[in-house]
Amino acid sequence: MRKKPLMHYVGNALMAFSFFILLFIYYPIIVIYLFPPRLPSNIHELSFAIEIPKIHVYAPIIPNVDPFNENQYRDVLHHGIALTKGTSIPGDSYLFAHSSDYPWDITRYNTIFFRLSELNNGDEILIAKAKEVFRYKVFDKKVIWPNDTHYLTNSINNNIDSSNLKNNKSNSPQVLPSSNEGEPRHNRGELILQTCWPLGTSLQRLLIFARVV
Amino acid sequence: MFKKTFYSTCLTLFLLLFTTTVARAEDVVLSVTGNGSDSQNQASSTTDSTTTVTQSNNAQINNNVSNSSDTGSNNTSGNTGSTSVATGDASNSTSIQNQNLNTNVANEGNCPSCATISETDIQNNGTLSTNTINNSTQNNTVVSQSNNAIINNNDTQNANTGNNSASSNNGSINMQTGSITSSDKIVNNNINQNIDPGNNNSGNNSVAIAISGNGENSVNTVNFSSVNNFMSTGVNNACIFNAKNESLNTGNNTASSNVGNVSIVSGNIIAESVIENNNINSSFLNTPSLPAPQKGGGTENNNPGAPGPASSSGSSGSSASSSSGGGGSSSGSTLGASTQILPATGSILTLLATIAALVIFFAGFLLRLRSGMSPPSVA
Repeated sequence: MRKKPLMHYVGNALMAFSFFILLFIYYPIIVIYLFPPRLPSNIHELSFAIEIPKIHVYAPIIPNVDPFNENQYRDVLHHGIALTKGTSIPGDSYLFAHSSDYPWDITRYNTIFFRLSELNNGDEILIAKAKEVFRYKVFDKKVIWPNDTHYLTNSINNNIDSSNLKNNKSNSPQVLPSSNEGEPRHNRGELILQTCWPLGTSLQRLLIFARVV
Repeated sequence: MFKKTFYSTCLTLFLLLFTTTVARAEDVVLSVTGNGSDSQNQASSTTDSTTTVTQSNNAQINNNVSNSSDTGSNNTSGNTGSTSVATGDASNSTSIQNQNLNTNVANEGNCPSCATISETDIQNNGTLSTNTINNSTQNNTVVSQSNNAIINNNDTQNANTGNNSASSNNGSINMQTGSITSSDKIVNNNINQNIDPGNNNSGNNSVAIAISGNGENSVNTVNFSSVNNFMSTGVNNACIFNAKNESLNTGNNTASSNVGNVSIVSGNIIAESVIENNNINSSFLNTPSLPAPQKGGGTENNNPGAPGPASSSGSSGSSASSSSGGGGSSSGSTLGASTQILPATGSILTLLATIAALVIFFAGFLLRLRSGMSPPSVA
């Protein structure tokens, strides 16, 4: 019987090693597609969370996150989706979450917006806050460069303007006419979801725009 | 026993004398003068001082204000004929103000501990002598300021203009209430401020270098280095809870089972409520001005390469190399950093790791091919 050379075993070991690396990196992403998380039926009872039924996203929202403080938002994104400081729900809001992270640090929340690019116009986004559910419909999608911060700053400034307007008016809450579902609709605002694009890089940013319905 | 105590006290005082260091201004004078021919002379000095300013404030304030007013429990029952109840005018006014809480001002008076006066002289040395002075100064200033404030403001206002009940009356009843004016204000102003007026590390770093009167073919060198490092850190944490609870009504105004004229007129509640949070968590930082290097002190030979007066042929050279610099680094915790890019929510390392894994795979595949072993045949 012919003895197998050492190169044969080394080659096998390298191929096996590379296979395990790929499995290690992409296992959380494979799970997203093969075993998508079950969405809770009681989202309206949760304190502050987002649900995107189409891409099986369900995660808590962590408010008051400084988008320019990397140390802070990196820590927050391990536990959910960040709501930018200065924006609010209801009102103009800017949410961001990981589409990928360091290979050794990928968890469920670090790939939560991995499938965000699959959203199209008309797709539904639900946000529960204090036992009230706000329904949004996607109306636009954009890919921008990281230094294009005007969508973010517009969200913050619009909130400041609307809060000033509120303060100048009476103390009564601003309630707009009822929606189709019969729920009172507060303070109309735009929702922007942000993640990195292309997937697995931080080269550009993908923005999903949605509006309250 | 007494001797033992005496010796131990002396020893303690002796150790204290030598272990206690007092920060003070340094006055460094380095001089290489009057040395003979063919001599080699060197003088060195290294000064390293560190000033640390640590300021911390913690404050917890609980303000609970409760205001309640009513204009009686006006009850007239079982009356026949005209009854008139007129109340009104219940006024509440409260104000909670928290001002100038937790302020740190780091003022080190131009850094007295690191002020350095340096004087270096290479003068009147003989011919063919080599004279060197090394003078190195480093001043470090570390300012660390932190403030923690917890403020709870609870304001409760209750006002009503009577419970106004007139029941089972027959005939005209007239009730008139109204006029509650409520005004309350919660102001949190200048909470958690770190102020560093700067110039904390710009002490009197004056330098005088003199090279003169040295002999022919002498080599004279002054190496001067001055570094100022400045680091400032400001951390502010403020938890402010402003809670207002207002219950205002112009009477409960009940007139039941009456036959005849009933007229109830209420109205007029004016409520003004103000909550202001101004200047919460501020850091004001001025980076230090860097010390200006000076070169001088001599009358004729301050310029590098200039011949000394004692050298008639001009062949003796005096070279003075001096360097002075300052480094100012400051870091404060300021909301909204200057890096204006959208938050990074992806990592290129995922792609790189994928590429690396593929490269490893193909490397392994090539090794398999080159090993000459073909896969086992099925047949």
